[in-house]
Amino acid sequence: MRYLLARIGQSLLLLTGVSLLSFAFLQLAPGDFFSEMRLSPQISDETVQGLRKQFALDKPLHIRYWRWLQSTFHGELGFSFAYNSPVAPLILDRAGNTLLLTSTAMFFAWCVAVPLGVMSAAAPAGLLARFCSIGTAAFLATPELLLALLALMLAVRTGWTRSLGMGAAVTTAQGWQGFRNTTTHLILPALVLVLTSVPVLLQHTASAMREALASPYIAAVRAHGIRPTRILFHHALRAALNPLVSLLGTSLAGLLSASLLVEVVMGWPGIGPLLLEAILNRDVYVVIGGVMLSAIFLASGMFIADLLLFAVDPRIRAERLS
Amino acid sequence: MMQLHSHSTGRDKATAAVVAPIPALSVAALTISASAPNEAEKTVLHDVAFSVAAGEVLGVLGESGAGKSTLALSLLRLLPQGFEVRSGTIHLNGTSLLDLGDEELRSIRGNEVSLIYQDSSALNPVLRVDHQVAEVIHAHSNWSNARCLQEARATLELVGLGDDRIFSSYPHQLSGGQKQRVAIAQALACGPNLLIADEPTASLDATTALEILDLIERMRDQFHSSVLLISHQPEVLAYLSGRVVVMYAGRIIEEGWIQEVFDSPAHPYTRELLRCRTPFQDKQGPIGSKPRWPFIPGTANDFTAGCPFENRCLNRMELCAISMPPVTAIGQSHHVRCFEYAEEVS
Amino acid sequence: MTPELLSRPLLVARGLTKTYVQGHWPRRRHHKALDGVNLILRSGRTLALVGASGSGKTTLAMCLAALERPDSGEIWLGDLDLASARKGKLLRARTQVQILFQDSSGTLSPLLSAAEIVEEPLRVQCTVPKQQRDHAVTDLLRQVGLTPELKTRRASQLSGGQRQRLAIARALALNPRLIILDEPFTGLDLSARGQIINLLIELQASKALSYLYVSHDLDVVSHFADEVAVMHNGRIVEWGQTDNVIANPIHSSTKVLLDASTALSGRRPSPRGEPACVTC
Repeated sequence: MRYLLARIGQSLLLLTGVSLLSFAFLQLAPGDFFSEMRLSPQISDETVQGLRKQFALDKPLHIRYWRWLQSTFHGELGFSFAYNSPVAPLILDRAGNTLLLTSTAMFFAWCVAVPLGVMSAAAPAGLLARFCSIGTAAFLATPELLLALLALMLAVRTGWTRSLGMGAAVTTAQGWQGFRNTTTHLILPALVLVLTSVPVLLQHTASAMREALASPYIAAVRAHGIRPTRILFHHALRAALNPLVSLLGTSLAGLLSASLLVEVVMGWPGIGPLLLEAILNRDVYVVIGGVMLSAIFLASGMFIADLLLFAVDPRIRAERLS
Repeated sequence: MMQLHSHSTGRDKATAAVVAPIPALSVAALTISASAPNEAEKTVLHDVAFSVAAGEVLGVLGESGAGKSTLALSLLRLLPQGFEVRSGTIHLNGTSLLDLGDEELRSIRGNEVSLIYQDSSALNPVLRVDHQVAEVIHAHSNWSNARCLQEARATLELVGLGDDRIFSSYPHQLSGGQKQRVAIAQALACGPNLLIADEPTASLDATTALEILDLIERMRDQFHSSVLLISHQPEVLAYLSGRVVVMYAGRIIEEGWIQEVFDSPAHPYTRELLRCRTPFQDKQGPIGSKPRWPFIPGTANDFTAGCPFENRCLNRMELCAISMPPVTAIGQSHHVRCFEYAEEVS
Repeated sequence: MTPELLSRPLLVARGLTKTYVQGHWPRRRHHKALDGVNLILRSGRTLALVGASGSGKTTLAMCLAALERPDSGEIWLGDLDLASARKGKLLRARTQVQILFQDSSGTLSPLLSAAEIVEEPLRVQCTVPKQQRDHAVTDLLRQVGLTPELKTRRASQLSGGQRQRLAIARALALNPRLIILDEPFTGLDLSARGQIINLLIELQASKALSYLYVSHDLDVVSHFADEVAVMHNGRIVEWGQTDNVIANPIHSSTKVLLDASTALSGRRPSPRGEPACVTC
């Protein structure tokens, strides 16, 4: 219980720190949302100054921070200049789309990587292991951008899936039609994400398994005549879970940010394009909102990883506290 | 093949005994070589031959590097990469182990032949203790999970760990002695014919070591198993074994009843080794000075064609470096490989 | 050195306590590893610490080596209290107290060569200038009986006895006054054990070293140690000259240990100067 409270306290501290730093760094970037307007000869300086004043952009940093904090407690997370709306609903809506994409991708990536990793560790000189290592090297070396573009090209050439966007009327189509719609658009970006994340997962799984398989208790279990498949999945994998669980936690932490590039290239309406646009436009509060959301995910992801580790490894459950 | 049984009834041995007294284990002319990637091939076991009768405890004495663990692993056909059986036979209750296929071997391990590892390494740190014992039973039977767990707990009770808290604990929560008992429970779960105990008391204090040795003896009686007890400590062997073989550099250099071998050791190595048990009783040293301990200078000569102890032997002869001495019988069941006793020296 | 100087107290421990907490709320267990321990170690003498597993021997050894801090009590090494000293002062204390662990292969870095392992303490403490370090390393290796050609070998390429010698060389590098030996002969065969014991005896004589020898092996204790302290449940229950304690044990724990040792080896550990007798 104490541990839980301590962790929550730490996370709050982290979030505060992140918000302060983001504010400070964004302030360092020259110009603001209305700077572009000044370049247009038709808009006078006074108009720009007036707009600035209206949105309190001329106030000093700490006042703006304080007002942002107040806005956050009201559930608004500041105001977006470009969209002329509070930041929170904007971000949350997009974040939902991103999560759909990344969680699907992550699920399939783990389903593919873990068994492959286990099996290639079990037979290190076999065909599967060699195939995996070549494949891993190839996909690791290929930039995500290239893969995304290749996927797009493939889609366009074959006309196979409608690759751009999330579907014409995803919000209005209900039920089966809506689901089918979303899924056909989901396949390609998810595939790209899977291809980029499987290599690392596979490597980690394989190396954790190799280490577990080399340990004395696995040799002992062979001496007891346990069947090889059971040794692999019940004994060795259980023992190799530690690093994998930590990895799961960090993957959860990166759920929001992992797909930024893919979303932008393939037109998936997630938080990526929104953030990119906001950064380019200096839509300050949107950027901060996005950063904060990522930070929340990071903190929760790490926390969940620790909880999972606690649940999975009895040694950590009984650690000495002296 | 060994049938699984309920612990309360014990094993039926009547039929086996009446038919013919086949030794539980019989090894003949076993030679095993090992080749590491960048090193020359090395023979780790030379022409090893011995037998263990049903229900007997045979001790194996030797220093590290003598090949004791290799012998134990070879009996389970679990030699590491690079090790190869060059020649020889291993018969377990009449069945030749070297001819069996993978699946048959798997069904024998843990079932007819069991290995008791030193405690700390044998147990999986993330699995519960009773589940680990149940795994062994599950692998050699088609009982339900619940039944396997029940049998596992009965076995744990037999070895003195019949406590609910211990059943659900993990290895790191147990003491060294308790972990060793769990390893014994795993080895005994299916009532094996042959139990191989490789340094079972190595890191334990005298009190716990005694408990473990007593336990092994009780289990031997209960299951009518034969025991191969491997140790580098003579007193451990003396406590439990009837006969003993002494290994040196992969060869068996002496064998006999333990009392006879320890009271009148024939081979110079055995003599010197047993002398190392107590320090010199030097009355001439200055008062309060500490006595020195005997030792055998030099190291084993693994690559010779002759006797491997030759370079450290005080009684060496020219012949010793040239060829390995033959097995000579001294007394009724005392054998030694040393030219000191060989009748014909050609 | 005069006999009086030799038996001066080197290390004095008073009222040491240490409790380990295991498990989590609500099932928290407190385990008292040390429950008020007082100890005196003298210069140039060997004190054996015996007791059953869990009696607190290793915890005490770790506290005296300043690798763990006791919850309360004092450990006086000269004018420095190890139990409450700050890090900087502890660093100095480490040149005087060294510890040798049970599993030598576990404490020797697999990545370093033998020479590097012995050189490390010299480098950290800067006791020897750079140019002379190589010579110092060769000298240390020679003192423990390791030939110079072994300098480039790694720990995994050495035998058990050689590894233990290497650990001793490393312990000697800083010229300590006390070496704590925690079951140093486990895993060594009888011949290697004899060689290491002889080496330790010679080093003690030539350098006036003190040893704290933690062990179960009463045979070796009876010949190697000057004094014996018996631990039970975190306290020292008996303490005296080895010969006396072995010949006339008072506390029940001591008797239990002696009986177990006798039962196993078939003979009672004998006081120094007398041949071992087989129990009748």
